[in-house]
Amino acid sequence: MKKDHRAAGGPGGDGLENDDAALEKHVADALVRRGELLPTTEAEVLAAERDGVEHEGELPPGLRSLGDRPSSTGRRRASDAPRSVRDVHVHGAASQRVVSLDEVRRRRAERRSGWASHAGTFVLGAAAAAALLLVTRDVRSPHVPDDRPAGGPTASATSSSAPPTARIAVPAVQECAGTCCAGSRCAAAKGELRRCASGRTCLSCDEGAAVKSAFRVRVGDLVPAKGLPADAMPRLDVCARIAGGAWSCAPARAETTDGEAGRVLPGVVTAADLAGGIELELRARGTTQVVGRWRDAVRVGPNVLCQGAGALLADEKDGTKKDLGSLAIELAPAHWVELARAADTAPLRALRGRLDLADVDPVLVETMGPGDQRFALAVGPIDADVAERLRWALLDRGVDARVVLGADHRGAPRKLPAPTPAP
Amino acid sequence: MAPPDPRSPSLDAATDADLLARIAARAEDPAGARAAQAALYERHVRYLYGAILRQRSSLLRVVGISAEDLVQETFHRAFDRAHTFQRGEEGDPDRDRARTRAWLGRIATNLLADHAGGPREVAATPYVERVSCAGIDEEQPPSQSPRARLVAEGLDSLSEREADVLRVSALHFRAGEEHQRLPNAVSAELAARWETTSENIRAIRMRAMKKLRAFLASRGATAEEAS
Repeated sequence: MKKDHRAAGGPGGDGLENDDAALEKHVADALVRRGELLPTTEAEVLAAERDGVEHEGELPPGLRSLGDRPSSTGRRRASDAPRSVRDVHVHGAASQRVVSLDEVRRRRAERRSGWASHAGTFVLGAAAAAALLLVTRDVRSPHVPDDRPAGGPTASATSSSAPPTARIAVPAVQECAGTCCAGSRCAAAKGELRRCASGRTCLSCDEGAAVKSAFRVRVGDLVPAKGLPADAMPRLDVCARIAGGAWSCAPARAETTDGEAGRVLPGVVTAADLAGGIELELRARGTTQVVGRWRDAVRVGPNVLCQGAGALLADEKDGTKKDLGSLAIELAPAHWVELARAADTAPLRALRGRLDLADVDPVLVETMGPGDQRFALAVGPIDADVAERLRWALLDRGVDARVVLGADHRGAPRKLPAPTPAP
Repeated sequence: MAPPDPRSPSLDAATDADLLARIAARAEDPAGARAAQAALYERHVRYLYGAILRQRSSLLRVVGISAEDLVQETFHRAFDRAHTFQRGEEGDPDRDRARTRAWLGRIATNLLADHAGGPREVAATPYVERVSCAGIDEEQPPSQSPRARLVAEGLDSLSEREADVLRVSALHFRAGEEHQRLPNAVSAELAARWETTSENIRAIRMRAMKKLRAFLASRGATAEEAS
């Protein structure tokens, strides 16, 4: 244990007890375990190798050979080289391991109704399908940390100006403009794209629109296949990681029935991250023993944003493949539009009372900001394009607004009552 | 005489320690050193890139360096410091490989610690100068201990800022920062990033440590582990 040489309360010192030295070491060890610090001993390296740390895909162009020493000036801030989007469609195209969501829903329905056969032809309607993903757009775990994605959106104008006194009408920002492919407000949507399990009401056909967005990835409960006995479920974890990042694990089936179903992975991701691949592993609970895998790139487009993606985890050994189960992956919106911040909620409630917003509802959010930044009036989480429309609609009407990822939001937001109609 | 092919059998059969010895002797044999550099790079770049990529949503974002830059800079620093690498007990290829990778991990960790204090000249990297092989062959990975697993669970209960501050703090701990506190320049950098003050960064760190202690206590554990 390292001795604490600092005088308590001395210059630059934190006044910590010796106990912190031991805890600090354990924190560092825990971060290595999570892949958030690099292994620095032989044993840690061997453990990381067993965990599959080695990069398996193609190296980026800058690393295919030993290049010149990187420049020390003009250092980039939090942005890796952009990846190219791999041309892999999620729904039943290039990858045989990607199962269609109809398949996921059928299996889930069969399990819930106690049917033994997975070959059933039961087809769910859109309403039941939406229920299976159990999307709750306005409840967020307080323990899910936010992460700004590489090259992601940045905040615009700051808030906290004195709110106007007159009522301000803000037009609808979620109506379908331009060419749309999916969502309940999209007249051109067909079939299962007419109602999105994700709750989105209008999705552009233009995949480029999604490139500007950040998302939270939600991984649903595992629906076991025949190859997996039902009593094995309590002993299994589903672990996920994106673009070779740190693994995040949770029970294969959620153990509580309140709150959101499935797991929201830490941080936010971009389309480029998803093109780098999502990996799922089914592991013996609390261990790194892998019993099944799935890995694929996810191309973000209207289909995936509407209905999510399905993954079929399998155990492949000696050339044979045994399906173990399937689960749904949802890309949830991650952007917030903040209208104002204040030290307490009263001025924010007053501001809310003066806004007539056609199709969005601001909420109160507690933040980790100091003093007069502690509470925020915000709309979200929403996709980047809606956030930008709302931001400009507010700015055009003299209301400060900025788009954020909610990195310092904490706890569940609080809904506000609708304002009384103007006389 | 033509320079040795990096894929020549003599280089293939050479241990990492031998390659690093050739690199260290570049003044006498520049071509041989370059071939050895290329061979060492080919052996370990995928591992190092994969390990560093795991941090792209955490430490790399906070420190503000790309994974590719960190990989390249790590290898260049490794070649500069090839003379400091200490051979282990050779004969076990897995351990030989792991030893080199652990050493590269130390260099990359210390580079991150150097970068965390804000942009600076490449030459001024005091943490990298501290890299050594001391303790590199510890038998039991502490990251696999039950205590580390429990603390890993506790980290999930922290806010993003608390987790960021502890990551950077742990980075410096691993880089050999004696006083287990954030250097003033690093506190200032984090404060600027989070639009707060250095004092608040220290308060965040204290709060995070307090939360972890409470978490451990709730599980019937304490921060002190029997040595």
